[in-house]
Amino acid sequence: MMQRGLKAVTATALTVGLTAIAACSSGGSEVQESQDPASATGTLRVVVPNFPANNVGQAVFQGIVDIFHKTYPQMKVEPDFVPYDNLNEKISTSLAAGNNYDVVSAGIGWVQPLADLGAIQSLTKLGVSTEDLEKSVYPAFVAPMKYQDELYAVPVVANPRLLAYSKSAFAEAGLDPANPPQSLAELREDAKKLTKRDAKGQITRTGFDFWAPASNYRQQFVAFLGAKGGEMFTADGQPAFNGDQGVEALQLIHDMVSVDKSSRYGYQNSAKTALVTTGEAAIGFASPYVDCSTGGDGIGDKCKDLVYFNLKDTKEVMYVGGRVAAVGEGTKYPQAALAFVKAMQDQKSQEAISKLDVGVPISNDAGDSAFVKSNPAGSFAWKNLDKAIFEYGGATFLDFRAKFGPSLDEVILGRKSPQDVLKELDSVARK
Amino acid sequence: MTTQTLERPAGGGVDRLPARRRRGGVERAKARAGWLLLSPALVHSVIFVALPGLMAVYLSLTNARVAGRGKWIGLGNYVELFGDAQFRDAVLRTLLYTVAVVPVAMALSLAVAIALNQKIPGRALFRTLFYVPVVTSTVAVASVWLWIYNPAAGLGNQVLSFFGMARSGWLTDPDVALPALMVVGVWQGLGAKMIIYLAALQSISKDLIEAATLDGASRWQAFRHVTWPGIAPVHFFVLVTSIAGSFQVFDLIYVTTGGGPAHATNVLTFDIFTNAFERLHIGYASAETVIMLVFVGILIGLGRLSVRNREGS
Repeated sequence: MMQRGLKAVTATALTVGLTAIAACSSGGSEVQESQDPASATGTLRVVVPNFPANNVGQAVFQGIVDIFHKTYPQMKVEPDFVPYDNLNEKISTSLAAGNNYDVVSAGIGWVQPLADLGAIQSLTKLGVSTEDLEKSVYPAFVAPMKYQDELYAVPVVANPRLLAYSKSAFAEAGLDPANPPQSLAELREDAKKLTKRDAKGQITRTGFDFWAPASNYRQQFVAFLGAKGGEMFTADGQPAFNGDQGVEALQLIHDMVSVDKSSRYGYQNSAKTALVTTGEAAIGFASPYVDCSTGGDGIGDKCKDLVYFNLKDTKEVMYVGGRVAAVGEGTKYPQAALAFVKAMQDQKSQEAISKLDVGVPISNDAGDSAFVKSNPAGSFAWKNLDKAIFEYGGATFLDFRAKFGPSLDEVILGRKSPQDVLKELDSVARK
Repeated sequence: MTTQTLERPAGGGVDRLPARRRRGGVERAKARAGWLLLSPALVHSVIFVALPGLMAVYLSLTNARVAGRGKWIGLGNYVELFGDAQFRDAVLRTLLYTVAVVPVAMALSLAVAIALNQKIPGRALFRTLFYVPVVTSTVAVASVWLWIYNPAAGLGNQVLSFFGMARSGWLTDPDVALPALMVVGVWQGLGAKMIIYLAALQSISKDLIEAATLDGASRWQAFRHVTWPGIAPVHFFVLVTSIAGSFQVFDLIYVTTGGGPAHATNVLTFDIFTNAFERLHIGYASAETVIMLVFVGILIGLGRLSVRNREGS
């Protein structure tokens, strides 16, 4: 344990050592990118978060590689599958070693910080126009891809967090299954009524499931903030969450978890699936991909019991995250990397990634696809992408994000007031 | 001042100089062999400990977000750290973890070592069982404890329910999470300390214990005045390695709580990791690392001082 601990402690310093090693290793063969993609050779290093390293993840990635190979048949592709939690570690160590990735896939919030850090390069300079992107994807997804008026990434799939409820649970609790809660106050009251407990008072069915592990209530807060009419950051990247709407949204999460106890803090089932989808909760956040088949991971007839809805407190919103793809700064193969980014944007890739990583395709014409139509959650999500509210915000977002979740916990668990925490977070975001 | 005669002594003196030379040659050969054997470890220490250590000191004086990309800011990071409440809390939490885990683990491991030094049936099996957590990956250990601490179906709450007590949030309750991880820390470190104490106990001459017993000493007196002083040097070794180990607790927290809930388990190493690889402030994280090294150095120095004082008295 001590030796592993020592590694953790000196990891920060070791990354510097890599810089020196890189000086020796980067002087290898300088392969110029061929003008002709058909004869271009080399190895493209791609980092992709949330792709499982099992056969399913490998197959989805191979599908993207196959599309890429139609244009660049002789280029090799070397993937690096990482969880989102380790993405920064991978990128920062590769930058320190002078061996940056050629293609970087990340979340929406990463675009501006990575552009500011010099980890990804301007796609505008590589000939990708904002106008073309606006024509091909939902317009709301274009602004998060830009940094200092240039395009640095393209969206691949959207990862919304939907709200869903069980019709049967509503009927059982004497609530109208045709009328989901509209405001945050109604949501709180319904969740109280829908919570089932045993004789000892232990929850046997959660009233409202936030579908969040401990220290990760960020997206849920953003969703509630948006429903109250607020937003995380203004268009010019200034924090806007520290106001009455933010306080009310955060107070509500605290009330539901620590006062009403209609929701269990940080609780997840062993598969980490949304509790409302499995019938373990009456209302809750859910994935935009639901398998309605009866075999495998499918939930079968439970699909018919689920209804998807948006809160319409002050404003109708749906929280949306998403996966993007970008070209790494300093790549020797910018055109090949761009071709790989486009392969990730291919309709087939979007659908495969959506299934793998609880997402929904982001193309303008995806709504007509069999994939979206066959999946009630995806269909609802796609139709509501125009109500998207995002979490991203400026070049310092990763700095802010690291403190955001744990700080919200302090309110949710009753250690601090929403006002104090939002004020602290506001000062972090303004640094 | 003594005077030395330069005269060669009579008889046998002729052979003395070559013998001295031979001895010198042997000593030099031994020294060369020593350096040769030491060199792999030395090279490793220079490349992976000394060099990164020096670079960490340098980085701590820059505003680098990624290694190799920063500007010199002098003591700016240190000044900022002393006003950083999260860093201060992380230091206090680490000290608390150390103060709680190290003495308890040392006392328990000594007790277990004494018990397993007796002729009891199944002694070898027990020694192996106590040592198993040491050779098991912390990730595996943490995964097992995650199940034990599972609020819904974990063994921990089953035990509480059996005794009619209310369920605990264990790792989701900010008041309980750190103590819950201290228990894991004590349990996991028990085996390594136990083996060291066991070796020390076995090195104490049985004759001394017998002599004390014949002189009328009780078992406690024999332990207090014979065994305890006999294992004193080992206490220092166990103390130093335990302090260093507890300051470096990282993987357990990374796997189980991620520093939460509400920062309740955000110890210094985890804070360093967060600043370096989540916030991408490697200069700031390096400053924290340097401060941590100073802390560990001071604690080890104090331990060494107390041993010297004891030996002196």
